[in-house]
Order: sequence, then C-alpha cells, then structure tokens
Amino acid sequence: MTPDNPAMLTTKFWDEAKNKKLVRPVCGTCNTSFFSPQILCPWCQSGNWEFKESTGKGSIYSYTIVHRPPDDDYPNPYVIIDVELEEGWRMYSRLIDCSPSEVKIGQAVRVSFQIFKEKMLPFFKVGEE
Amino acid sequence: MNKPEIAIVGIGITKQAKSIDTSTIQICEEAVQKALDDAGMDMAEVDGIAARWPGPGGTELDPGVVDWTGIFGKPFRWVGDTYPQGIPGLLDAAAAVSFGLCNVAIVFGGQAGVLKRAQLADYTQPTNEFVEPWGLFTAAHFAMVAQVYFQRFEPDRLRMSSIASEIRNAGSQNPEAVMYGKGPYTPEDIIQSPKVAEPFHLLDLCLATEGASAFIVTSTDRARDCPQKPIRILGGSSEWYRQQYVNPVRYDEVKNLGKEAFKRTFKQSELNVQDIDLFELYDINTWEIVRQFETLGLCDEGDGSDFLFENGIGANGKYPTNTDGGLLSFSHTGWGGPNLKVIEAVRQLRGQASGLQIQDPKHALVTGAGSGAQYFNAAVLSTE
Repeated sequence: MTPDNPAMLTTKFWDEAKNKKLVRPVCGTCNTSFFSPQILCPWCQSGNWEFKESTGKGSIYSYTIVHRPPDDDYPNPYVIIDVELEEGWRMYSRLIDCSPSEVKIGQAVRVSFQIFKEKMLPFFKVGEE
Repeated sequence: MNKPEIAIVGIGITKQAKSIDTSTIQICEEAVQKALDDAGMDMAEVDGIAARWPGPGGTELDPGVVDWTGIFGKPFRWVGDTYPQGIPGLLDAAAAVSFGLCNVAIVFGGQAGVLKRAQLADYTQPTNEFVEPWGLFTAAHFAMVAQVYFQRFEPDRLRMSSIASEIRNAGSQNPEAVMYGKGPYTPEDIIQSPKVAEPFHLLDLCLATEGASAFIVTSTDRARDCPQKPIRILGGSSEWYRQQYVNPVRYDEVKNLGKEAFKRTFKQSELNVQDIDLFELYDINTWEIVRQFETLGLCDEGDGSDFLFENGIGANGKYPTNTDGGLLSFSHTGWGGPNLKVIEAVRQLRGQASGLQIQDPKHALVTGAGSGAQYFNAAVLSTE
C-alpha cells in the first residue's frame, strides 16, 4: 500500500534498513519491482504496491572508482556501483571491503549493511554469499 | 515543420574565471547589458525573458524568473521558466516570438561569488536520499555510463584522450578562456592527469567556473535593423528521457540519447550533418563528444575516437569542435554553461571568435546536456 502522506514514501525503506533488510516496492497489479519508490508503479501506474524484502543479491551493471572522496569518512579510492538486483530492479550503492582491481562489470554482489555517518546503509560486497 | 523566421541578434559575455568576487545577479546584469549593446537595443524593447532567479531576495514561488522584473524595473509579456538556458531556452524563446507572445526575448545565466574555492560545485552534488549516501556526484554518474562503453569497445586511450587535448589546446589559445595559456596538452598529459572517477581523469572533465552570458532572440524582420549579422535558428529539438541524477542511468538506455533530436533538428533545418561546418557540442567530458558523433551517425558505435582522431576536430580538422575550448577549457558556469555553446556558435558564424576562427562557417550544430543527465538538446544556427 502506498502511504497516505507522500513525505512518508521512502520511510519504510530506511526503517527496514535499520533491521538490515533491503526492501523495494513490488507492484500488486503487474507484479514487477521498481526503484526508487514512487506513488504509482512506473510500469502500469497502479497505486497498489508494497515494500517486499529483496534477497540483496545482484550483479554490477556498471561502476566507477572515485579518487576524490567528498570527506575523510570515505576510503580513497572508493567504488560506486549500479547494481542490478536479481528481482529485476536497480539502485546505486557503494562496494565495500574490496580492492578496486577486483571490480568488474557483471560481478556478483550481495547487500551488506553498515553504519555510515550515523545511518544504516545498504552497501554491497563482492560474492554471492 | 517550417524553418522558423527567428534570429539571434545580440550576445553578451562577461569575464570567465575560476572565481569572481561579485554576485550572480550583478554578473548576469552585466551580460544582459552587453547583449543589448551588441543588438543595438534598449531594455525597453525586451518583452520576453528566460533566466533562473538566483537570489538573494525575491520569492521562492514559481515562476522565479518574474523576480527579474524587480531588477530591470519593467514588466514582461513572456517568461520562460522551464529550462531557462542553453538550447531549450533558445527554442522556447524562438517559439514565444514565433507565436507573438513577445517580440524580443533575452536568455541569460551564469554565476559569481558562489564557488569560492570549493573542491566540488554544490550543483554537482544532488542531495537525493538514494544518491548522496554513496558519495555520488555528476561526473560519477557520467563515468558509470562511459565505463560500459570503455569495457565493451576498449577504445584506444591515446586517441580518446586526443579529443580532450585538442579541445583544451583551442582554449589554451583563446584569451577569453579560463584556461588560456595553460598547456599545450598532449594526449599523454590527459591520461597522466589524476584519476577522478574512472574512466575519467581530471583533464577529461569540464570546469566549474564563474561568469555570465546572454543572448537576444527576435524575428528575422526585426533582425534586419540590428547592427550585427543576424544568426538564424534553422531548427532544434529536445529529448527528456528521465529526471537527472536520481535513479541509475544505463549505457544501453542512453547511448543514443539525442538521435531523435538530431533527426528532427536536421529535418526542420532542411540540412543534414554533412552541411555542418562547426560543432559546438556539450563536452561535460571527453567521451560525450565521441558519443555524440556516434549518435549523429557519422561513425559506428565504438569507433568514434578512431574516427575523430583520423578526421580531426581542431580548427583545421574535418569536424571543428568546441573552438572556444569548450566546457573543458573555456568555461562552465553552472546553469549558465549551456548558453556558452550558443555564444561561441554565434561568434564563429559572425567571424568574431575570441580564439581560433574557422574560415567562413555557415552552419553550426549546438548541443546541450548528455547521457548521464538523461536529457539532450540540439539546434542548428546559420548565417543563411
């Protein structure tokens, strides 16, 4: 169900992240996943959707190794990825605990929650398990 | 679609620099005055305006452009607030004049007193909750699009880098360019510059600078009485694929962004790409130039850097590109940046370039935005 208050559209995503669960909107009408959360499903414009837990498994569609960290909380370099999740949705994240030379397009990754700047975030790690 | 009877009759450009110690409003007003002088017009005649309202002062209500009435002390008959700069600003102004919503429209923008010495400009770091936590910024969005191309086609890195060195070397020779006197650069210099967001190095990426620019759009009838050679807008078109810098943008979805806009632009202009003498293309990074030539259909996907290396993009090359030094070396003034493509095309077509002048160009292709931004626009400007 979509929230009554549009300002709450993404609240559940971050609430579930606190419990180390990765969720995404799944449309009850056309049964597809989408991201980021929207009031209506972008595939069929239905408002009948709910957040469902993802396996957190996916692969790297693309990535960039960044050598200019915004501040000292970031490693230098750090890796930003565009993840294709196995349920057919996508999100940006950061690949952690890896050597930049290991990063490849198509590489299997899995979600790995970690607190960053006082917020629990869905980062990813290399490998399926 | 007919060729519109619309021309650019005045341009104004201020000093461009890494940082300018005044305000955005002041520097924009300076560019406006220069454009009016160039057109031989008084502000009293301008009845249409497209420009962002930067503040301070004014309202936060839309259309923000109306706040400029408080600066110019006069009302307007048409305000363009959708994308009030660059080619969309130009095309909206042309449409407004064509329909009679106004007779003379001015489009302007820029920035001053905002960058200071920040490492990254604020506008390159959107604060979206699904973007910001990963340390994402504009160049990294574009890098993730380019990365797929680089891995799939493995372009020769020196040939790819020669695009950046050519454009930067044009800027080196342009006294008005922010990077005037820097260089010359070799392709090796580009590759040896620090990595920023792979596959891009520092010298592959556009500047973040200050300065302002303005141009004045009116009917070809009114243009006859203006002192400068009128530059006609023969055609133009935009593509808006998706909102920029939020959800992942993918090479396979945006690699040909602009193809439809080019097709419509050339059809309306009654020209084709072989008629173009001058390319003022949005060079947010080196690879976007390659992508645009591939999307224009001049070469196959994956072959763009070889094609441009063999044909040449310098002032004496087959495809003179970004003759002022482009966003890489001339200037990129934030939301005023897209205007600079129009300004340089007009200067070249008039024979008034501040840097390298192409010999008697007749038709210029100007573009804006790019793959990573998920929108694109194009126009053909002409002396005829």
